[in-house]
Amino acid sequence: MIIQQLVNGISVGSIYALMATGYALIYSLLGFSNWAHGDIAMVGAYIGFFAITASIFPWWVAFLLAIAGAGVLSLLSERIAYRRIRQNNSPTMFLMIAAMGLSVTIQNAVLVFIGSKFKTYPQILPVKAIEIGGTFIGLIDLISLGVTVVVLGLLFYLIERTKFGLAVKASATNMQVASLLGINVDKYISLVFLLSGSLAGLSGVLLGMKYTVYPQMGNIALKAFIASVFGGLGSVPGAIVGAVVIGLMEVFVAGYVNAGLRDLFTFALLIGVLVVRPTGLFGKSVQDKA
Amino acid sequence: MKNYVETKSIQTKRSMMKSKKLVLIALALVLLGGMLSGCAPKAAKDDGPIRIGYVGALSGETALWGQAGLNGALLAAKEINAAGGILGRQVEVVGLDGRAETTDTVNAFRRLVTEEKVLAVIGTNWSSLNIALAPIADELKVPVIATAASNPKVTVDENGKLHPYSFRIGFIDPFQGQVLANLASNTIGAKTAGVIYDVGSDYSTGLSQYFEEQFVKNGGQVVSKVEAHTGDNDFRAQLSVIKEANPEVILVPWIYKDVALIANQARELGITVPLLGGDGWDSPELIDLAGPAIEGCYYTSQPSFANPITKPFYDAYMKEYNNLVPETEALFLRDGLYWVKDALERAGEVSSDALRTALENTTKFDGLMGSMAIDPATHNQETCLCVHLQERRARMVR
Amino acid sequence: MAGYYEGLLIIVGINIIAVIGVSILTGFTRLFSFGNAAFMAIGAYAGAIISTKLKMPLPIAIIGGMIVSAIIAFLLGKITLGLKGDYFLIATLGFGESVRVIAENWQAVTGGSRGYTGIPMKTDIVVVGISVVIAIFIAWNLLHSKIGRNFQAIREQEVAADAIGVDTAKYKNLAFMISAMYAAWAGVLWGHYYSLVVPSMFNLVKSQELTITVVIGGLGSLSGSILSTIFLTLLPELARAAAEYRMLAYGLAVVLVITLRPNGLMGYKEISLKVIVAWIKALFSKKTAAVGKAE
Repeated sequence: MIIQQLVNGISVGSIYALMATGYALIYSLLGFSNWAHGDIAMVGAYIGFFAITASIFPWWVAFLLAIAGAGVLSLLSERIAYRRIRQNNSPTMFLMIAAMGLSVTIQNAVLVFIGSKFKTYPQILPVKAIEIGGTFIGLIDLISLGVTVVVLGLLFYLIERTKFGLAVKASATNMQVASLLGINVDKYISLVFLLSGSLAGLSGVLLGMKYTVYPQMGNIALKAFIASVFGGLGSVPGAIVGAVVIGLMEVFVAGYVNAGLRDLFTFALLIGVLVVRPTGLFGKSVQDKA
Repeated sequence: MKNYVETKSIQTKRSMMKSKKLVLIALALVLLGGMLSGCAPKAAKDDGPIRIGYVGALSGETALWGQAGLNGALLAAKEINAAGGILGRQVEVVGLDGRAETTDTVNAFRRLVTEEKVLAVIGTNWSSLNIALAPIADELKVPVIATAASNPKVTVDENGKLHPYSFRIGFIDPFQGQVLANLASNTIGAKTAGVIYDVGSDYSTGLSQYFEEQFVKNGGQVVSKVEAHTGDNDFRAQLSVIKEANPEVILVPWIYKDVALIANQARELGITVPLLGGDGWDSPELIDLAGPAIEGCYYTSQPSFANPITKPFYDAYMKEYNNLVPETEALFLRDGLYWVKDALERAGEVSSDALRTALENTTKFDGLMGSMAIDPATHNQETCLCVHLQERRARMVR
Repeated sequence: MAGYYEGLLIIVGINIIAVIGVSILTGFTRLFSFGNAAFMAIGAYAGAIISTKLKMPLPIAIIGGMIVSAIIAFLLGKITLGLKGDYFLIATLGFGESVRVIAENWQAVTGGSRGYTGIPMKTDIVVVGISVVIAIFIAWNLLHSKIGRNFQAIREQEVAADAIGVDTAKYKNLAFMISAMYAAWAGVLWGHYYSLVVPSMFNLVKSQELTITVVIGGLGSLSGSILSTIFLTLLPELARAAAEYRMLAYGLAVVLVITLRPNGLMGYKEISLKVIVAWIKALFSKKTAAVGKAE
């Protein structure tokens, strides 16, 4: 059974990882926690759902639409809300509050205009399980795991090996200097939001396929957020590691200790890590602005 | 130096004055409150329509039940009025949104009673909400009739004292747990059972407990009991543990949307035994969401639309609401209104107290959900319906 | 007995007390926390136990609840207040969720998810009215005292405050404890009004609502927070027709306020007769100026 639980844990963790990455991208750049991230994923899930049930597009086009839609929403939120706050020179906390407001707005907009009924994705893939020596893994899980790995690999390539990535990293390190060196920081911030939103959209679609689609589904991003803090806010590899660890921990606590106290363990772990290593496992050591 | 000292004392004086001003504002608010509470609200007319209140979740995650309830109530009121009303007077249903939150539900109830001057309130379907409403109903002396709120504490408080103004149409969980256990032992013939319950839901925890008690009495054994939490998406960790224990049947006392997830994940893990559930399963949505995963499963529920005598109301509902498939909650409200009618007619007068007494002394009320007889000591009654899911349709078993 | 409008005012009053706590912590000391609902819960449960098991009167329950909260806040603060803003927020969030989980699982003490029932209904408009008055009085004087000025120093320039010898750690902890005590006070009153305490009443959403209320009212304005509370509590009840849109409006309001008028509706100012008079004067002077121009 341990192997089964490992499989369960990695499967849960991979979803968290995809979400946590999007989170970490924005944090590394702007230093704030995008509370609306989960809700952008949720919008992606809904777009995917409607696109597929409309039966006009092949499923992969529907997915692309969902990802694009979420990305655009994220981009818009930056342009309309976050940019203004940055320009006002407001404290970084305000960005987070705006994100909180956006989260409430998006969730409730969907609730009001689309309704609270739960929806499931039509069966594009059969709900089958593949059995390998007594351990079961769902077909959807396998595929979502594969997609996650591929996407994260592409992201790594993008950030580490392209000029785009270089510009983003430069802006993340020091925005003023980067802008002095001629990098159009605003443009890159927008692009990162687009990228983060797209990742969120993909997470949403995968979540929708695995589970169900409903307005509050974005709340799962809290786990991603914790994973990111745990792994070190601002560090993308940290977020991924954190996500997998949290996924595994959740599964093992639920299975072997007490599912009711599962969240308690997660938070205790979190506080423990923060006390011992205040910037998380791989976090950058950031000083509070003087 | 002198200036500094003077400025300081002026500052302190100013802040004292400001704080005094704030205190004055606060006092004014309190006085306002006192005055408002003495305000005379709408006067009830003696020969006008009989107003019955409804509180349910008209928004939020469980809105589909709340909305169905309101729809059912309005339709039933229409029917009653067409047939002459109650004691010659028309019935008017006033519905407010409780959002399935204690605070909003309590506010809605108070408003219905003190501002809208309703005779009685029907609702809600959540035990935790009605447990909160019961003492207030007693205080305001207006009967509240819960629909599916199956926790015994809705009508009888934890010291065993009856809440005289709190009623319920459906059954209570101890009874439901028994029926489930008998279903497992007798109909399915299982000797071992697994349980996965929701630690965040009193309904789920209670039902599991009552099931276990009866199942053990029947000679069975609960070989694995695991918990999860409302809002969880992934139950595979817990299901893997249950799978190891290899029970012949698994109790899944959750709400239909969670049941869909649990069932699908169980099947994915290779669990093939039948699943059992309570009235939280009861929704046409269940089959849509869960698909083939719940083939051959069973659940107990309040008598619902699976019972053929409900067909006329079902058809009327579909017609009235543009082919919207009704939830059982609509049936509850329909019976609730007709029960109130029956009680008022027995009482012969239109007042909350007379209504209360008549409700308490119901010996036989035949609603679409079955025949009801109320136990005056506890306001409980026993009717149940077992459903078997086969070929994507619900069939009555008992 | 408690009519509908009276009930509303009671809830407004309870919310005001809780929000004052958050205002002191977040508005004046700039510590964002998502744990305040948890302290309400702690206060509510503690107060309930004192009332029902120990059969003590309400004021004792309130003081008991406040003491328990203060102790827990002190301990939590010692561990977490050294963390940077975002991390502190997550730690308080974790704390809040942990309290909820414990409340759901510790059946023997809290009644689990069923909740703690049978609390005597001791909260009425008089009790709440007096509580609100006292709460405001204490908060006002606190904020205008040396302690209050230290809070604000931490808010504006923590490093500088440290440099001139203000014990920032101690004052942060003090603000944290005070806000926890206010939350507990509100929690006890809450429990004694609904006669029931359920873990889901004090969840993350509630904590967020408290913070949002302070933001909208103005980070740095006590009266702003109070006005904001009154408005946001009454609005959904008075605009019941638009109840569906309430949370949506809430969210939009936050986004609008924080992007367009980040200091909230009141900014750093407090309501006072002077401000209102000045505002009216300004209106009139514009009129005379316009008249003057026309001539």
